[in-house]
Amino acid sequence: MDKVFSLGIDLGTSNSAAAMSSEGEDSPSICENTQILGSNLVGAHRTLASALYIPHSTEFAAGSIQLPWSRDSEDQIIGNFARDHGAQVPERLVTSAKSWLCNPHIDRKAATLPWNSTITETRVSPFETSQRLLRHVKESVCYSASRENPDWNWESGHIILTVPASFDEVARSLTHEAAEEAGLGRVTLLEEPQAAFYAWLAHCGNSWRRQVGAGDSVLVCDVGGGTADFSLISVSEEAGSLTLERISVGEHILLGGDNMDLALAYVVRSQLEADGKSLDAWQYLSLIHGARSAKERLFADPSLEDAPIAIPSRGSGLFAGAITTRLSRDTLQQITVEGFLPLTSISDQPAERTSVGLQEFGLAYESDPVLSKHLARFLTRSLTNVRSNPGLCKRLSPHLSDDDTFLRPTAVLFNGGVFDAAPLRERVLQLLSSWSDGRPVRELESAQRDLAVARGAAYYGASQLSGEGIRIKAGTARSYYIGLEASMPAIPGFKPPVKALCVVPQGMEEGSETRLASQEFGLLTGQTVGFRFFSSSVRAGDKVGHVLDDAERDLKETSRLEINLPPLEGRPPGDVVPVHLQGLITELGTLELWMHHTRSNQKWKVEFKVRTE
Amino acid sequence: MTKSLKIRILTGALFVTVLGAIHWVPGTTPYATTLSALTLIAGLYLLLLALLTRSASSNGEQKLPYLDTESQRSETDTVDTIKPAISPPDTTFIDAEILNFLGLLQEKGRFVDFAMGDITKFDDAQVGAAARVVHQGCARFIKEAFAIESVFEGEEGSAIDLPPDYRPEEYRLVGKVGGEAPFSGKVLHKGWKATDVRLPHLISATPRDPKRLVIAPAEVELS
Repeated sequence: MDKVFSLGIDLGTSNSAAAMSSEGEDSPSICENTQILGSNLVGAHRTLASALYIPHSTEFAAGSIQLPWSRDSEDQIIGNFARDHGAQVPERLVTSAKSWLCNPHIDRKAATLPWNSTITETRVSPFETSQRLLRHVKESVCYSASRENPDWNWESGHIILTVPASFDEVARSLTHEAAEEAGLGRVTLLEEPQAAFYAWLAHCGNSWRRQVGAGDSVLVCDVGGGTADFSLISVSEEAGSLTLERISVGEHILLGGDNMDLALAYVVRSQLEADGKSLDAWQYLSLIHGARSAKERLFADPSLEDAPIAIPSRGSGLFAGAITTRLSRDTLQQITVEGFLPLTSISDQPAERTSVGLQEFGLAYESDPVLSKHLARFLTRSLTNVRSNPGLCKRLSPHLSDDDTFLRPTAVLFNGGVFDAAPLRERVLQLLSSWSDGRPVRELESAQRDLAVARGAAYYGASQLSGEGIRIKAGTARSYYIGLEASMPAIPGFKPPVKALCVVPQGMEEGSETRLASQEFGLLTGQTVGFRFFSSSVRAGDKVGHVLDDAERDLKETSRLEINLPPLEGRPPGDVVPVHLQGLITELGTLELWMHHTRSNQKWKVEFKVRTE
Repeated sequence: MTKSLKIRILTGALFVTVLGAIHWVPGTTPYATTLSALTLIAGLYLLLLALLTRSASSNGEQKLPYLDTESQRSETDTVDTIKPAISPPDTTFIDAEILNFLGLLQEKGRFVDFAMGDITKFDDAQVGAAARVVHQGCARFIKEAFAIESVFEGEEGSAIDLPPDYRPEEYRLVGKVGGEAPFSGKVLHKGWKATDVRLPHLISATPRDPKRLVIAPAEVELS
């Protein structure tokens, strides 16, 4: 079916949004998310909290949690009410499913959420949660679009789903699969910082060429509620016109605006406790909301010295029980600007996460809350990545010097609600400039930072449909490797290193494939054979077939690969078949690995298997 | 309204009128007390009839008489009555939505707690703290649910000329209201208007128990 519109879906860690771009329309428009907003209450918001609440069977009256497009009552609540109500019933609330989806330490299809909940009958998997959120977004879009136009049809849409740039291939393919199972069809994946950059392109129109020039390295600094995601996009000139290329992506950093609000609430609570006022758990929740509002007011109006925070009583006696306090600008500055974005040096980076003997198992929250250090680490790794690849070095050469220790951005595009606060944007620019001997770093003007990813995705989809508009050259953000057991004599007490063979190089574009014809593998038939699978985001120079001596030292283990070959016709099981390996990036941006029989046309797909430890 | 009821009311009204008129007839002064008593009885009779009429109409509970098209039709067939120019909408639905709105003000900004609490025994500091809670929550909710602007964009106290086609729903005239537009005056209050309404709506408009409409549920913690 002909595609007549594109739909961008931003499935965020904390909030989701969708935007649509129809044929003949200039800029993408935001699709409102219809959602349950209370018992017997339904309404629409521009964002949908990425929260799933699983109510008790008697908690809501029959028919009081029903969505306008469904005939029956729901057994789940998705969205803002789920988040707000669930904060008081945490064992029935699933949040941050997306961060769980890229957690390599759990089986992401196993019903493990809400994490640590004692109510076991309601558990869902991170995969299932993503699927339900996506289905909700789809149904809400269909509901509003078909009310406006009865002939509207989902099938005629080109669907772009954004994922963090830090998602590895397993998390990407799980997202893709969740979308398909949620009935979204075959979606195209796009990295979120790139989507934010496309939103900026859409916002500027043709004037973007006047705002950046050849030699610019743009840092996309995307800090949402729960995560921080960095990417670098370089601008250069080829045959007289500007080209864009995404040259490096950051790691998955579980640190965002919510951490700032929590830190503020924590400080305000200790001030109150010093005054002899104590808060219960519910009042602490409303203190977090109050601290966020006060923070937003102070950031929005530089003339205010402080802002009030009012905390209601738990019971109905408001006059006797309400507590008020004030958030001063000093505290705000100390906690948010100096606490999260201090002027540290470029060599000051977060400590590598060491594996302690005993650790509470859960989401890998950052132990170091200083965003400045994470940014320093990202820019240092970016330079390592560029240095490893002669092509990238050449592209950036006029702007690189031998004694650089990190890649200097010349401009920043801010994204995420956190950066609505001008003082935080200024601080990031100041920090970057201090690392570049005081040379100023420009800010690219962004708008609606909480909706830009969805908008940018819709814009990207529309330009794919029309074949017009500039594209960011990107390809795979990482290179991928298969682990090989080294053949060496056994030495007691010494574990032989695992070698790794590069099967997919960084920057491999959608719709292309690699084939390792030089390397022949013997594959055992009739039983499941497993391989270890590794990746790296800082080895842009590795080509297909490149062998690394110590995978565990240089690479990050991503997952296990498994393949089960039926015995070839007329051959007994246990036979060894010679195969070649083929890596393929689909048009939709997912990675597939295939085994080709060297002596026939037969081939088999290798499945990613999540590690379970 | 049935035909017989109407005739009885008419008779009663006539009786009161006649009794009232007798007061003016010279020479009836000695019987003033009796006449007043009769007038009173006639008045009470009328009142009773009027009440009967009301309870007869509200018998249908959900359906108000002016919505009951069938009885309206039979009425037009028999008696030449005054038809309502506009038929008001179903009030059960509207009431439920308004209570829901009140519930939202309570949930987001403790509005009902504020209005229902006994304010007299608390000092201004405590009332102020409660007011901040209400302001913080209600302001956020109202700004989310409506786009609100002032009707008059200038300063309060400034002069204004209202053209002949001014909209009375936007400007309320007080003081010496007379003559022909344009009117010249002074703005006392700048007014408010909503340019967009984004309120959430009820899933089911029929309350489960119309006699006990819940604004905010009681909250119970299980441990």
